[in-house]
Amino acid sequence: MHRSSFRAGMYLLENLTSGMYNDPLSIYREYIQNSVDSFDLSSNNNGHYAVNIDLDPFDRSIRIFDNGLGVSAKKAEEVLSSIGESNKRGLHLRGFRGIGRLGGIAFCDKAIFRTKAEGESTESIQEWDCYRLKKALNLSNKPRTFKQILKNITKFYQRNSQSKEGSYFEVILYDVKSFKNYIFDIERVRNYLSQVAPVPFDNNFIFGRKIDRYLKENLSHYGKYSIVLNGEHIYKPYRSKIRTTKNKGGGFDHIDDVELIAVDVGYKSPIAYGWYGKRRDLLGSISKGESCSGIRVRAGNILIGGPHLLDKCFREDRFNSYTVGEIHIDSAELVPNSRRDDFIDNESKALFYDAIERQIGLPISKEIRLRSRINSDSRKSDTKGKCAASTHYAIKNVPKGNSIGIIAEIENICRNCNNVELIVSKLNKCL
Amino acid sequence: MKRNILLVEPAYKTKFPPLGLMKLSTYHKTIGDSVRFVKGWNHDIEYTSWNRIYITTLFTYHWKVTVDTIKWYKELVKGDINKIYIGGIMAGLMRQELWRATGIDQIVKGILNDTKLIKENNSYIIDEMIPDYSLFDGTQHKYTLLDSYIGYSTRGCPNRCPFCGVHELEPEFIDYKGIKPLIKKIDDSFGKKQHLVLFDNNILASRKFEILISDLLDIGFGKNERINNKLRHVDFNQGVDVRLINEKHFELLSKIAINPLRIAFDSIKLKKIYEKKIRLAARYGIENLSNYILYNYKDTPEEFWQRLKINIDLNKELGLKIYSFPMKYIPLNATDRTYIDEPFWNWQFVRGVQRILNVMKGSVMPQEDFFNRAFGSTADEFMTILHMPESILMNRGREAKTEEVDWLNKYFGLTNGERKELLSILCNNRSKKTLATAISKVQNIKLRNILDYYLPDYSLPLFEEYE
Repeated sequence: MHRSSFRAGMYLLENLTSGMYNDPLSIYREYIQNSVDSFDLSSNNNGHYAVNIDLDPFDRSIRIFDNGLGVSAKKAEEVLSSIGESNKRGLHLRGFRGIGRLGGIAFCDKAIFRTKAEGESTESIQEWDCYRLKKALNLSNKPRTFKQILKNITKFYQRNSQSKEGSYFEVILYDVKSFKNYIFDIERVRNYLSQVAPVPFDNNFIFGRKIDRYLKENLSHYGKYSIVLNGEHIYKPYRSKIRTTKNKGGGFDHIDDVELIAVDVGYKSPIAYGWYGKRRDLLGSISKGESCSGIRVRAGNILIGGPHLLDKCFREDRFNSYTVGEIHIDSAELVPNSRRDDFIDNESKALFYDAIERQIGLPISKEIRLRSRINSDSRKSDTKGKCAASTHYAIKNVPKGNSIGIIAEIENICRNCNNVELIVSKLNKCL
Repeated sequence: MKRNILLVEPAYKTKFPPLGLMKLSTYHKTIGDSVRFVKGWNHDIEYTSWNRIYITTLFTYHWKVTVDTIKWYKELVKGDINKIYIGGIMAGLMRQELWRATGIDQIVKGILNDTKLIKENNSYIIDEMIPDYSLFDGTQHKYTLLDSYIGYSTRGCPNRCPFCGVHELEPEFIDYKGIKPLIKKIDDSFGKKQHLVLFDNNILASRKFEILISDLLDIGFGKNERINNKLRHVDFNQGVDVRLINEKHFELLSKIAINPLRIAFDSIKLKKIYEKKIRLAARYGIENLSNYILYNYKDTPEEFWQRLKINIDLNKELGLKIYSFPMKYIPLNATDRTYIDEPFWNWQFVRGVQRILNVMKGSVMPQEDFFNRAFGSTADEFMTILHMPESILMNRGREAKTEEVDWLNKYFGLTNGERKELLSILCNNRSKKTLATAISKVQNIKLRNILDYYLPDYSLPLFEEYE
């Protein structure tokens, strides 16, 4: 048997770090994904699990800490040193490619992974010298192998822990930098997490419980987790009263109820379950600032793509922004791609998008157009009504026979109305 | 490459120009950038691509307008928070809170004495540059002090008083900064200024006070000195500490064009020392005094009145003109002005003082008859005035009108218990609507009669609504 000539070069690492994510905030999603998977795997379901994210822009550091399963001292080096390997596949978990952990590497100069399992007194630590990694990738005129570079820039060690109690996984990133500094914009991060992370509905959203009950009954697994950003709990951005673009200054509309749906593509069971809000007026799209517009797709309760992933399922793309809703994937056939901005291409993906168009996109588009037409007709009839009233008023209040006076009065009352010339010309003919 | 720099002061009310922005303007103009100033925001500036936006901040109780302004500019630069820098007093005191509310992390705390703080790489010390007096040319907002040299002759303060943020913002006390080069540079760039305003936080803590006074004499601010045929003034704007000032200081101060000399009288416990120092001021011919009177901070309304009265009596005795400026205490990190130092102060009393001051435009005149009418000739009279309904309190003439006399009769007819109840109803029902509901539930006829004075025109909106 001869040795394979395949080699993994160091630039593969660039593809998995800086080359992987368009949005630096994706790193929060990747670490949260690992944390909540660890919560799901933990047998101690009575525990209060939480992911604590602490940003310190003045120290330029980010800390992401979860009290999930952690990694045992025995396996820690192997688990922390493996890339592109995961034992999660087939377990209905969110991560399975073994690369999410590398997300933060591209944005910091130093990364530390620290973990401990319950009942053990050993803490395992892996440090990455990301500054050296970037330098090597940028300047090296002597390409090295994937393995060589990892050996040079990482350090693994173990030390005694203060207590046997507790388990955790912690990521600490130092000297963090990103494009436009988005990564430390806590307002942006809060907004991002509320839309992307598997967090609960806010209590102010009155349909939250109804939706939770439906999803819990139907999805094979539906998890909501406590995610805390600098001490503040994060919730999904849905509310019953929403700001719309209906009026120039911005009007409001209400979600009066939610439609619960099962996405059926002809398989044995539905491929996804979800809900969308039924708006009272359905006039104008939902304001961008509300952070909740569009029917969004989630897998493992984590957002796939953005608010516009399903735009093409509507008669006009913009109609997706008229509503709110979520579709939760419940099928092993629909697999998120590595960036989690869509699904990997297969037959189920095509069937899924067709089903969304049929079951949601087109009926909502039809309703939007209908409501718009009714509104436009009623505005026209209002105008007609006003014109008739003004004409009647003028004829009644100006002495009989004074046709010039009547016309002057109408011109005065209706000077801001587009129909004034038409009315005056008609009256001229009559009087 | 020439950069577009925007300097912003949020649209809170302020008389003094933003000194930090004026220095930043000088810095950026010196290195060849183009600079523009905006008060608040306006739509003219939306069509320029700004390389940097500096937003200053002032008091913490300007929280809302400041945060709204920062968010507006964040939107303008499409969320690129690298383009925004925030500085000033509130930013220094509430850096974490401001970042949490806006997401902007480029918040400069304290003095801008190293350009690295604003990610520049040169050796300029912006804090020591002269203010750009031309920054506001062509803008609508009118600031005072633009005819004055503005600066510092010391920095920081050696004390760490709990109600003061100076030790946080300027932790190092520098007890002498030669002011003469600054004045020379301002003269060369903008011509001679009429007055001098120094923002030193504790000038008397300087061991080089004598040199400092000598500097002021050298640059033409001796007593009775004039330019343009007008007297020049020196103003230590942040005031001097009554506990520290001594005869030597007065002797030195009497040589310069000090006007006014601002002295704080923060507690009645300082009465003896305060009176002694004012008498010293009078002996050295310093007649124009301005007196900050902190209230709503570990004091009672009666003590507050006594401090005002002491000034009136000293004016009479020594022929001085001491203007009292009552200053309501607001905690360092308060994001609005609603703080009340209970139990001695309450909403009705704090509001009452503010209403009296509104009528008097913020200061307490030195004349005795005026004071007696506005604040009462005794502490008891003052307490009665603080119970008055706003409409009567603010419309009192030299003599009491019928409505005031009627109210006073009703007030004096109340027992102490009834007065307490009156106060409780007023403090717990701050809107007309809730007060009307509360009054409707009052059984005591005496109380009900007097409470009607607090809602003189309440029936009017109902009538209009009906119409």
